[in-house]
Amino acid sequence: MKKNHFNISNFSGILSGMSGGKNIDTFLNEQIGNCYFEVPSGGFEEELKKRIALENEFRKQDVKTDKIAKTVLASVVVALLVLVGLSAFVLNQTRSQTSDRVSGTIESFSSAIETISLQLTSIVGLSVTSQAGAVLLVLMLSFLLYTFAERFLLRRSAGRSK
Amino acid sequence: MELTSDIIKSIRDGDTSAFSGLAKEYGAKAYSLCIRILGNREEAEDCLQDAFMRLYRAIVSGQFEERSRLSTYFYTIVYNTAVDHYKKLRDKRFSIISIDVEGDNFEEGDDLTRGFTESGFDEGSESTGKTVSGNEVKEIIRKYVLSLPEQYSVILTMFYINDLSHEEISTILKLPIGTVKNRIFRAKAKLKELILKKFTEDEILQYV
Repeated sequence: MKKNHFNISNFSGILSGMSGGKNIDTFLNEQIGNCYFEVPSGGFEEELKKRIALENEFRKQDVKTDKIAKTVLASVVVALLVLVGLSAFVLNQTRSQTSDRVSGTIESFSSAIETISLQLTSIVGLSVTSQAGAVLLVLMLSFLLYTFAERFLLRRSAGRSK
Repeated sequence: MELTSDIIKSIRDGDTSAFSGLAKEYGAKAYSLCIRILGNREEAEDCLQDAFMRLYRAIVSGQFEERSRLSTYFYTIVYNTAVDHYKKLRDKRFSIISIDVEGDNFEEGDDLTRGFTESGFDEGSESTGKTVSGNEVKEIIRKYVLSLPEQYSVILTMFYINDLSHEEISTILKLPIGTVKNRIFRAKAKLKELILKKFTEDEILQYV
């Protein structure tokens, strides 16, 4: 009667495949992972920490600069408005004393605004007096000034943070 | 460790140690991707520093809105930063790696074999029957794996190291998902074919 010979190495191959679920594909997957895995140098994290600390410092300075710039801009706008208001008041008070040339200019400006106002009234139902028009113009000018200055500041701080 | 909103909130509140934790978690994995793209350790470290800074700014400024996984978002930044560095390097040096930054106009498979033949591997050599050590097997496999062209190695790194899904890789690389799957499959099939020419499956599994 022929005896069956069992070779232990045959079993080990089968068992390793069954128990650990290991086969050549799994082995290959592990090897690909191992081969491509790289570690940065020891000083990497320290360098990164320094850069982040610097970034935070810049950020704080930017916030400060931004606050100061906004305060300055707001002051300029308020001063401008006060100046215009005062000028309008003074002009109103001393209209009779002003020279013909100046009063002529103001009157032509007033009449222009009133003409526009009349047209606006007929179109959209809005009415603007000459003084209100002057204030509106100043407001628009202030807004433009503020936007331009803020954009300039933001661009500068963004450029620095890069 | 997947990031939670709490960690992001901590970073936004100025907790730099939370960000250091992130750097520890993703540093090596992202570095592996940078190396695959740039092929140079120093450049890869510079690139990774820039990528982390971009991530930090994105979190602090609220640009990262937690719509995607942070890891996916970060690896997208890493890939884009590496491509930027690569483009700068390309201007400086004449010849470095040729990743397909734009388009996918090479014939699948052509570059796969070129990588091995240029590396001087003898594809035809078969198992000698001599006893080989586990280290030898691993070293030879390592040589094969590292000789894969970048079109394949970048995707394999994203898949095996960065744990990105086929869909995520496809989005980051702006490649059709079929191409991503095909490259992973082809690269593995080619490696398997080469390795099995050199060793028997039993020889390999001995060292698993």
